[in-house]
Amino acid sequence: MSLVRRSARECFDAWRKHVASVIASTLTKDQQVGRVEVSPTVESLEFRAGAVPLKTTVGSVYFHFMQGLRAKAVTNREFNLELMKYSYRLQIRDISVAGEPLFRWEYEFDDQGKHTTRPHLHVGEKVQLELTNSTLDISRIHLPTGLVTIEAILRFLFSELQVKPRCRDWLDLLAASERSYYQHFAFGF
Amino acid sequence: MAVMREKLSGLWNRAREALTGWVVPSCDVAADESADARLERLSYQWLGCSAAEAYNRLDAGELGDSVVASTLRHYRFLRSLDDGQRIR
Repeated sequence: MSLVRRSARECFDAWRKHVASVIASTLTKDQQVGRVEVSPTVESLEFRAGAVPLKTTVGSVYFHFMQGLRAKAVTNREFNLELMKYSYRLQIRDISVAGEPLFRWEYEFDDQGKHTTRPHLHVGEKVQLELTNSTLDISRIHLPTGLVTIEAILRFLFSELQVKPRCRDWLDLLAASERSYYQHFAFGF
Repeated sequence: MAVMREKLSGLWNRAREALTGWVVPSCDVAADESADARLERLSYQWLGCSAAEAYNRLDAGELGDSVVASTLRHYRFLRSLDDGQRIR
């Protein structure tokens, strides 16, 4: 099932409300989720400030996310929301060319379904896996994933990197938000 | 009627915030920023140049896999979407 509304604007509003609510209730209420208009039917969702600094087990980490959305007319009175691209990124430095990314979860719609644009994960930057006769740069390869939800990223931050959640019942809130996602949005490929 | 509904909604949000500390995010009717404005602003903020120059640097391979590069690619991709069809 995917979201259907009477206008592109209603589609974008419903999705932003979903994402902004789960971030505000579990991670931060100081960093607002903003909508950037590309065209009347294409928008981007991201932190207004760009990146959010977080205290983790490995020191300060910056969380950056972008979601590219398209509202597609299915009839002249119905629009369907599609997730066309996402990037969830954790890195050591704030916005900089060097970056030092830790993890990058990425997806980009591609009607040819290429491996490199399907949902995938990059680990680190220049991370070499030493093999018997060669080395493999783990950061360059695209490790396949399923579609990664914002709730999954938040759960990872709280569980694995010990980011302090805003509330004690964050597990329940994330589960409820994820249920809502699968019930009302559930983007397909 | 609309005024009454707005007042009740405000009361409910304040009560929920007081009880749970959860601030209900506002839901804007319009987008916060246009892609053109954001790209121009971020290009000057991050690289000290215009968005056009930032794209030149991206295409020259100067920006690697940075957030800057990721953001420029993000918007280039979104611009390629037009009314349900990918322009190739």
